[in-house]
Amino acid sequence: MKNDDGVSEAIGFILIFSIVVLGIAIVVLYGFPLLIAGQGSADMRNMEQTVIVLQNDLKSISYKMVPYKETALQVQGGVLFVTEASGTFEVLIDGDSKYNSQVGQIRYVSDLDSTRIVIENGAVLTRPERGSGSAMLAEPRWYYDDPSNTLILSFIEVQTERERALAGVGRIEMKNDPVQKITREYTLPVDSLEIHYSPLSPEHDYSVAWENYLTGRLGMVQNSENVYTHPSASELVVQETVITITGF
Amino acid sequence: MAGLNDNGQWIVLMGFLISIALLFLMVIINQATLVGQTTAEGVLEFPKHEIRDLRGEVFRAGGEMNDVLYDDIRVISLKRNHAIVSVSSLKDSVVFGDTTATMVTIRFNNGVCVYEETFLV
Repeated sequence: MKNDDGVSEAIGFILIFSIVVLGIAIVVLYGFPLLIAGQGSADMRNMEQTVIVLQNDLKSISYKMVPYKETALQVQGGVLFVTEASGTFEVLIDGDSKYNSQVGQIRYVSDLDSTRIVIENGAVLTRPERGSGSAMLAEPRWYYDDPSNTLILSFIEVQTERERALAGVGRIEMKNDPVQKITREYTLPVDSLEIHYSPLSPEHDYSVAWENYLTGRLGMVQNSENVYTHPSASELVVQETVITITGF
Repeated sequence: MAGLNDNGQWIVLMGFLISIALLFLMVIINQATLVGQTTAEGVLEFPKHEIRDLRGEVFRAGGEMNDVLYDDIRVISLKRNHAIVSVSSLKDSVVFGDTTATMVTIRFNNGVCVYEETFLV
């Protein structure tokens, strides 16, 4: 037989209760910030998907003659902006400007995470709030056709009559403006093409992403910072679609 | 612990196994939406109808294919489908006894998909 004269129910209860309280306190103190950080990155992942869906809509409107698209979406843990302010693209042939446009942005800024996601000129880009790096999450449809040495640059310009911001559930309406659609063809003399990208400001600088895309994917050559040329293109097609965004 | 009945330990063990299995399933289900989206995009992006339209027009034109028609097809493809199209035909290049046929090569490139085909009309 065991001797359990020294066992007290009250002390046992206090011991167990304090262990439970201590456990809860540790979870609240250390676990909660982790949970919030996890929420931030989960929001970011969801919004990456949402923004790629929006980019697909823009692509359908620009490349498939779709006149109108409406998307219901949920913006989680941040705000989605639509603005006409963005980086500027310029296409020059022999120093003569053939196309120049500030293409506009659809931008997601998270409350918890310091990363931003934007759609600029049909590409989905991301960058930290501070710092100079940037990356392309989904590419625009610029391409080079080898047999005909044709370079096709398509610009997707976003227009909105006022700056828009959306948080929570909302609807984005996109409308193609067929009158403003441009398709121009140019014959390029050797080494005459120049493409310039000028970022809006250091906080909205996506130069690194565009550099990697243009030099890595399209085989362009960087002449100087943000100035690119294509070594073998002899024909150039410049296409621009203007998309008006309304809704929320 | 002498008189302890531990016949129910397997229940606890099964609980562990099932929770681990659920964790794996969760990871797989998470991937499924992503895979579904990429597949659906791949199907949607593939320019099946655009290529069929082009083939149809070239077949319809047959031996009558000329520079004006070719230029129209090229410009429309560029404007409507954002695609570079080239059609080259060698008239009466293939001879079977006393009949001749035109060999046509079409090429379609819209930046996502490149399609080439050679046929006789």
